[in-house]
Amino acid sequence: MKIRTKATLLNILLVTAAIAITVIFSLIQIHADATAQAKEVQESHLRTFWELLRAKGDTFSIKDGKLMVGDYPLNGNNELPDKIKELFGGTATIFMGDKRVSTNVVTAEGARAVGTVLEGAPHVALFSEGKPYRGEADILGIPYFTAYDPIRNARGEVIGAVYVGIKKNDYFAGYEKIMHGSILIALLVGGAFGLISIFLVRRLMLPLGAMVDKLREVSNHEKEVTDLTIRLEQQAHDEIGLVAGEFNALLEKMQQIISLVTNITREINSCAGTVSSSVHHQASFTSQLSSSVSEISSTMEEFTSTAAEIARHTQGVVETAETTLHDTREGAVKVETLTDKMAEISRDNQDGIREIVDLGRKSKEITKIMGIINTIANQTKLIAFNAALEAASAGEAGKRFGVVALEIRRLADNVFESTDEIEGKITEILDTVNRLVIASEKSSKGIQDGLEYSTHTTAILNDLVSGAESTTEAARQISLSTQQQQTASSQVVIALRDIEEGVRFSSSSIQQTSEVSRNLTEMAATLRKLVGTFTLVEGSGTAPAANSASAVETLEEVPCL
Amino acid sequence: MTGVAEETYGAGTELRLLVFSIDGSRFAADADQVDSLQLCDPESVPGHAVPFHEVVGFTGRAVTYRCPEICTIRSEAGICRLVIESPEDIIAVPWESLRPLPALIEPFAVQRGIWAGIAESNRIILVIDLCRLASTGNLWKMQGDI
Repeated sequence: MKIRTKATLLNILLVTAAIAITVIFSLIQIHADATAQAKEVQESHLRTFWELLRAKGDTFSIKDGKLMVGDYPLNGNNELPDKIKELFGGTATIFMGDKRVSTNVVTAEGARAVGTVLEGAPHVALFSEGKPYRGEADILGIPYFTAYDPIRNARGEVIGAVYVGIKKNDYFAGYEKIMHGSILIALLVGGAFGLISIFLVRRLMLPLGAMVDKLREVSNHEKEVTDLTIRLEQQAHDEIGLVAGEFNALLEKMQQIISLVTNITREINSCAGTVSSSVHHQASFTSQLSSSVSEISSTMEEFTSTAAEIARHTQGVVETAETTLHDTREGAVKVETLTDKMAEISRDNQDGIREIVDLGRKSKEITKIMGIINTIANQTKLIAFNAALEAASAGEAGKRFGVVALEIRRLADNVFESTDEIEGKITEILDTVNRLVIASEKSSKGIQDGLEYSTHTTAILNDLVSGAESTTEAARQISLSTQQQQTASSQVVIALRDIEEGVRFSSSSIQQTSEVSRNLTEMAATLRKLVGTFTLVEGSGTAPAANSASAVETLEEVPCL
Repeated sequence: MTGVAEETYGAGTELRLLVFSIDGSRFAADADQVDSLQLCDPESVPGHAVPFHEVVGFTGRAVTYRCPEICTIRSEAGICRLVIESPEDIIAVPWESLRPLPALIEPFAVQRGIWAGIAESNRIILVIDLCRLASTGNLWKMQGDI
């Protein structure tokens, strides 16, 4: 349905509703006023009826099956109801119990309607609850406003009722006329307003139709292209003109936004490609990282195992180092004792050497003595030779002397032989002494060297003790460090497992990112295709770059991964 | 040997020889020619004593005397003192035990006073005439010169 029709119908409906509401409100007010007036009249009739009854007596009673007011019997006595009819019109009835005993109501046959019984709501109100009753009722097919009051005896017991009724029609005839006239006028006014409304709405909606045509031209469903260069004409400065202006501004902004979106789409496409490339590289790197972390994890597990083994071995090293320290200390003490012994041996050796040298010196003195003996033997031998020469020159007389000289010479030779032998022995002794001296000196040198070595060894052993202490301490530190290293390695393994888990998670995330990037690329392509459906520059079929409204730039195909 | 000596010595007689060694060579001299023997300090040989080896012809090589003695020879010509090694012995050698030198070397040997040889078990003792040696070497000194 067109908005023009809707506006027209709405106008008619509103006018009709306004008229109807006005009429209905007026009719309701009139109806209420008529009802109030009828009830006032009715109450006035009822008070009058009661005054007429009290004029007959003060108390009500039933005597001999008849209702009495004072001494005035009411059964079959229609004086008072007729008086009411005479005065005001309408109907009036007196009930004894729930039975009509006096009334001015006449049936269709012309007889008074006495002897009938009261039923329904009035009966309940009066006789069950002991209250008056006001309401409407059809009496002999005619609608009445009815009013019932209970009649009580001296003890307050309800023994009957008084009824007054006025015809409803007497008060609502004018109301009916007004209602019919009002409806007729409302219909006429509504029709007139409808025609006027149609005219005005049609006139008012003409620019709107032009706008719709322009908008259809913008949307252009047949070409599947949205031309954002079309602008609406501002024929008037009313709301529609403002709407057209705002719409043109909106199109202008939309044109800029679509241009921006085009540029951004291209950037997104490019970024998506970059992201996809980065994700691809990242995935490759993550794969390598995962592999590396796995290898490192494996290596670290081996390292942890090795560290544990090293820790065990290190404990052994600590024990060995402590044993070595103990042995080294004992060794140092032994070597110090050995050094003392060596010094003692050296002193003894020096004493021995001195004794041997002294022996050699004495042997040389013996040699000197032997030299003297030899000299004496030489001289003796010489003397013997000279004596022999003299004896020879003495001829026969010197023969005995020659024999003596010979014997002396032989004795000298024997002395020579003996001294030679002694000299040989002394030489041997001297050689032996020399050898002993040399050997002793060598021994002394050896002992001295041994002493020096012992001293040096003591120093080395002391250094060794110090080194062993340092080694023991270092071994303890190494053991401690190795244990810490083992703990650290275990923690590193745990951390590497976490990293491995993280890398796996990262790999999964990268796959998701890759998927998102691919989706982003597809969405960018879709978006590019969508923005391609907007004509942003007159005469152009595609969207230009956004940063320059005048620049016409065709979207290039952005490579996607 | 002098002519007197040759007349004195003959078959059946013995020759008393003073045996000494010089540098491994054994020499024997007639004991009768030797007047006396004296000890000599090897470090300070007197100037008037001549080392035996220099006279005999050991020149050209160094000869060390272990126990040098001065052998004094006295004759009519004078006195000669030779430094010899301490004598080993005085032996009596039969005349016929003396062996003449080979003719080839005799002229040269005789000039040095060596005139015969005595055969030992495996070596030869050269018999030397000390007077001839002193004369050949012109070693004779007068008593007052010494």
